[in-house]
Amino acid sequence: MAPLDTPQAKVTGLCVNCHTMHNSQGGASMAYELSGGSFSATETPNAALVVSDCLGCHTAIDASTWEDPTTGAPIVYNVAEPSFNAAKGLAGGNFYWVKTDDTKGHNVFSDNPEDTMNPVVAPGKNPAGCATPTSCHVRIDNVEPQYGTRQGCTKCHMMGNDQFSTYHHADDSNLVVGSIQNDPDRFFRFLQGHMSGVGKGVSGIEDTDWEKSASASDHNEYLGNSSVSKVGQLVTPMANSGNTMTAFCCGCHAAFHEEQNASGNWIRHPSDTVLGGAGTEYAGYSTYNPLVPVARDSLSTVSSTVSGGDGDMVMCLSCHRAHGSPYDKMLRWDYKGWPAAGTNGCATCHTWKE
Amino acid sequence: MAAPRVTLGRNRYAQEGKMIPNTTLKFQRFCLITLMLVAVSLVVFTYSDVIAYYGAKYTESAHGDSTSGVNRSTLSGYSIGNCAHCHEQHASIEGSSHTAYDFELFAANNPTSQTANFCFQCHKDGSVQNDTYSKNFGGGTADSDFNSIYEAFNPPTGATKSSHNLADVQSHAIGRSIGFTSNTNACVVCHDPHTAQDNHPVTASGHGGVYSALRRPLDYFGTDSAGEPRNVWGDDDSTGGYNERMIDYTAKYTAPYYKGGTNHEPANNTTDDGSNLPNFYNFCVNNCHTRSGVSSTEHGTLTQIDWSTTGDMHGKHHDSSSGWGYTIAPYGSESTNYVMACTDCHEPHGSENEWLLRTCVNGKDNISVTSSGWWMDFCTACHVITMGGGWHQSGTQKCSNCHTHSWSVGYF
Repeated sequence: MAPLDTPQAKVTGLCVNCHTMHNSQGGASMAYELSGGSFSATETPNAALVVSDCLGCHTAIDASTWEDPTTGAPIVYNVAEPSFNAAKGLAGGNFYWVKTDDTKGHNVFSDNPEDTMNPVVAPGKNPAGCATPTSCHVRIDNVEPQYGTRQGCTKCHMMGNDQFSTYHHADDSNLVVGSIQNDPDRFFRFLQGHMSGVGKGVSGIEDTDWEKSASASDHNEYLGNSSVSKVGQLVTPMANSGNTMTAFCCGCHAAFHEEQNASGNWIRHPSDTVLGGAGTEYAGYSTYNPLVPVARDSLSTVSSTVSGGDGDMVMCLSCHRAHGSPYDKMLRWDYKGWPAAGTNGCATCHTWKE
Repeated sequence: MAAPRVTLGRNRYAQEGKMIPNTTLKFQRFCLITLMLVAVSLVVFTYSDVIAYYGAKYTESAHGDSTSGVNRSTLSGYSIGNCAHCHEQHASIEGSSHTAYDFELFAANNPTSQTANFCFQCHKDGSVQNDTYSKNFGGGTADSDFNSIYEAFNPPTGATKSSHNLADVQSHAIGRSIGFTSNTNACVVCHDPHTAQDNHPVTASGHGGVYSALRRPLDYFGTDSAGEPRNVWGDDDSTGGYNERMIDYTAKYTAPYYKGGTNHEPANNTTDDGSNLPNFYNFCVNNCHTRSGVSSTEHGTLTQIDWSTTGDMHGKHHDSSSGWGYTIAPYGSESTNYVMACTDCHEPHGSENEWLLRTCVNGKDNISVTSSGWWMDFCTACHVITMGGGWHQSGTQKCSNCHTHSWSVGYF
């Protein structure tokens, strides 16, 4: 069993925590599945002899569990509204809200297809990406035939041609995970591949408790790349801009990141763009706020400061939580309700827009 | 060891022929340095306070107000005043994507268009009612055909109608080299959409001035040490050193009457000293009308405005030799050199009359300039023209034959 404070995604401990050789012990099935709001045994064995699928391991049927007490797996789906921190989820957010509202996260639930989104294709869909009815560019809860029966989770995590057999066994004990191409540590949170290229993924520093508790000096760190052009059709350059979180997101949402026109005006919100320095409103964002993370042009340590002068950038996760959040458009704060109520998270960077 | 003593200085020890302990000397130096730092800090911070202005907040602006701010009718669920009513971060909202526009606006910016400017998405056709200066601050008659910014810039009526030309405004602003570019919406030259406040009815700002929709062109990139472009013009009193109110420009300002009595503009009360009026002289001439060679599509090369003591009579020039102009109340004292604000005579955006002349001045309403240069209906709001005799009495010459800004004979 993994130590509870493990910062890695790599699994350690007894094999039986995750695998069952025959799906049978003492006359009972050992594999289990999440069904509705509870777990139940199933006689259907899983691939790789694992005892359950992604949701089975990363779900808690209560509101307070943020880490699986047996495997140490981070909980990304609480059946009850998460209550273990103010963010109501770990760094990536929580799928709790997606279960009933597709506008609040990535709907990965195969038993709850995206039925309210119109259009159902990924917003900002990569126009050059797959358009077949089963493509994840069309619906993230689709099952890609070429990848077997994997769930929506693996449209982002463990998205390699070598399937997911080795990911949880990869050694991601480096401080900076996924810093090199074909990194044996399998990249930050196993976010690999696809448009960012085979052998590429996301580089980052993983917080020890996945930001269950977070502060200026206690948080994830994300790699960015400000050198990529923001002008014109960005499908290829932005998505292929390296091991950055923005590049990864652009695998599906690339059209959102054609950000500047020929005149240099911003026509969409910048991403992987260095915050303005002295004399701009962005200079007012100097102490790292985990609610509004930034990307760095290089990673070596967890920093409690933010500085455009040092190359710190706004990125996709500055505003969004990848899994889900209590808020519309999976935003990190109640943007829609502001200024009548809600939170002016925008002012974290736009400090003159109080 | 005993704690080091606080001493008054070296002399005492020297007089007593004693050695000065090292610890005491170090402590002395520490105290002196501390005192010096405190003194310097006091000077710096005191000076900073002197030059500071109130940094206006979006939530206090007309657009950011959570009950009366921006509210795009095609959006649902967003708080009034929310950024999304103007900006779409990904050119996509509520499942619908569209062409991406400059500054993440939901429609084309069209920065110099007199008819399709982005701001007219709301400030048109009564979507947002913005009456004329004459009506709001002079008490003039409301005109349902003239109650939006779009209509002000495109006057629907008037024989000599006029307006600021937005292309001219932007072009001149660019020429001043203070940060404006061809992408700058012309409206932004005078208004910061993130700080412009609801200025009607006149309301005290809490900082010595009044709520104001103005931001000086010069302040586009900020004027204080932090470079914050958040200085709403007219909301601060004189302590900031910017002289944002007319009273701070001159103690000789007297506001015209508000229509219907002897109350004064702009608040329809007894305040007449300009303490509740932005310093429009400074605002208008700041980077535009005090300069020579300002080009106007409608009016050619504009006259340089000179409000100094040797300039225009409506400014600080007090020339008794040319008479007092037979002024009427509240300008009845011949010994007083009345100094006017630009908006005492001119609409800021546009008018049914030429030169953006107001339709209600000093309580006189429905003023109409039906032919260019024939301003008698306008001027008589404050002057008894016939008392001048000659042409003034016969009315056979139009006003503009003799009078204009900064003309050596009959300057205003």
